[in-house]
Amino acid sequence: MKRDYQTHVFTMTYTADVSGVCSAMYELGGMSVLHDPSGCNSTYSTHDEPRWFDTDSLMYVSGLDEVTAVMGDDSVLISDVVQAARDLNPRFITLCGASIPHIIAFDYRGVAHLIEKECGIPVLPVATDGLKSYTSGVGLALRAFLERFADPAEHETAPANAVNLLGVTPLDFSINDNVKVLRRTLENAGLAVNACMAMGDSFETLTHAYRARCNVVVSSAGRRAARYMKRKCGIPSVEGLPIGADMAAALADAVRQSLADGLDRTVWDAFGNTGRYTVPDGGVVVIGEEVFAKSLAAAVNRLSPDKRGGREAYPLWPDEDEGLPEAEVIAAVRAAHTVIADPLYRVAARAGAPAEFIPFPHEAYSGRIYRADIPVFTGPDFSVESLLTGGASI
Amino acid sequence: MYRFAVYGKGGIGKSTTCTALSCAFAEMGLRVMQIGCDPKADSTLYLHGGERIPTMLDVLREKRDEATLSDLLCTGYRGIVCAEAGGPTPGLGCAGRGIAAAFEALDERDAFDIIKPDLVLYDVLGDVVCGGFAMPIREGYANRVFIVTSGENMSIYAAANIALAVENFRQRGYATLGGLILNRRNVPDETEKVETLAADLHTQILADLPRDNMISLAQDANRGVMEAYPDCEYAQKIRALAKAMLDGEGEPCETV
Repeated sequence: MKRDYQTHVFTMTYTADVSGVCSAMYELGGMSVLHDPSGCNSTYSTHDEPRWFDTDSLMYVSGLDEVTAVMGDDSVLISDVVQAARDLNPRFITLCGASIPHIIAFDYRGVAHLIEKECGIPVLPVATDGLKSYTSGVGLALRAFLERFADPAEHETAPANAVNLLGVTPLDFSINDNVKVLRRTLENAGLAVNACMAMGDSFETLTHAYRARCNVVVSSAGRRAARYMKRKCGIPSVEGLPIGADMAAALADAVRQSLADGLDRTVWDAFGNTGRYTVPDGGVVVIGEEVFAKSLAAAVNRLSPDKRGGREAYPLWPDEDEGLPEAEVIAAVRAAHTVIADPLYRVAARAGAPAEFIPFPHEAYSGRIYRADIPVFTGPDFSVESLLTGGASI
Repeated sequence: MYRFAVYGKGGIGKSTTCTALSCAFAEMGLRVMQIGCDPKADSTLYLHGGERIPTMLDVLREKRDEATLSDLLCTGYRGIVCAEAGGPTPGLGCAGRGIAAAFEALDERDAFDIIKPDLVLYDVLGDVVCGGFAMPIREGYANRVFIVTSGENMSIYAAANIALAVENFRQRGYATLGGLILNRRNVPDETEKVETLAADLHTQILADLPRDNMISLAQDANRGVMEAYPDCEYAQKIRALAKAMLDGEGEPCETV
């Protein structure tokens, strides 16, 4: 069956890659330039960046217009960025863009080279296209940072228990205590968090990202960076989130095993469904970012059957390039007994009428609307059992 | 890794030259990758017995993100790794963007780290008319551009334009001009015209390839000339050209 990813009648789309880049770079002292007419900039600042109103960061949009795009006149962008950089003296510059530069095959690397030559400040070209989800943008940005600023030779000096957290942005973890608890959870398990990419750690700290023995990929947004570091010096990765005590222990165990044998792991076992969007009748469906959805579904399945009504949980996650095919999401929701998802999925759930809906807000899906209701879910104190009893009838 | 791009006017013999060069490099023991950057997708035709291979864009349209690196590549004569960017339906879409998308797909799949070619040869459509057709000479892809030309005026004009584009992009860290490849059409004053062009561009003629019927005869048999007639004059000149391209690698090459 050919999937229809384009039609969204009941459901939203996830935040775009350009916001992912800006989000990943927000705290690192650089200047981010979004090459775009302007719309992506206001979407980012209004909906995707919870730190916008209380933390300064140098975020700019190029104001690309039609003739400049069609004629391939890069000089406007170059002179504007050079002038801004001279005024503001950022530590580095990130150049990303939306769909118009993408379609005209804008030369990110070449323009970055020219800007850097003129102002002497490192410029990271991050060739986003405005068409993919934020996980792509975060991933490309973190990889670009590592390529430019981190030294693989430092891996030799990494302590035996040092790990990185990869894929950390407010788009998946908001600005409550999730990141703090995530760090503490791993540290309480005897692991040392070397770098958290990219919330709560400084530029300098992240430049030493190779001083780690294992990468903990806590969002699929961290996969590109993990793959890159694996290729550079063989650092293994573990995918998973410590959602609740059981998963926290499972994640720590998986990391210890990977530290010992150097192999990649996930904290979830295979899910018994027959296809990416096929969910057996009467199950629990968890919709969200892939690592989150799989970790939470695994956490539900680890409960004793009586605590989950004898039901199995199944993850549904958006494709990075295409999003979620709405018709298949609704079919899965219709088949489910319970849906755990961002509150904006409630409309889809109504269309499908499952027995109960458990709201779990996700910044990359509903932005600021339900921010106050985003729970701290990244540690042993989060109760998956209580989550399951908190559902409401549709 | 050697990274060469071959440009030139449409129909001048770029694909024939590239295919023969790939064979010559492979004969030297190099692991060669040839990437066709033309919507017609016929660059590597005679490395596969005249059979077309699936283009990268067709595979991506069908499989999207599930397309693996092996879906995008084929192995042909002498183990040469072949890829064809492909392109949209004629008259629709955007061919330049198509080339960029194909290149991005290779990057996303760490193609060069996995294939580990000793030499990559980009066979690029006609002229650098937009950003997409400049992709092969951008940073990270080819670092040397070679232009195939005959003594025909239109071919010389196209070659001069391509050289100008290469020079314009020099500050961006793009490829530099490696030289001209004279592919004879046996027009009057052919040598003098191409020598004048080379002098104007401050570059050199790396090869003087004869118009050889063996090429057509080989293609009629669905084979490349290096495979079908390895001892012909053309094949010998191609081997000398391949050697000259490797010898010139890394040396500064002055352009306009």
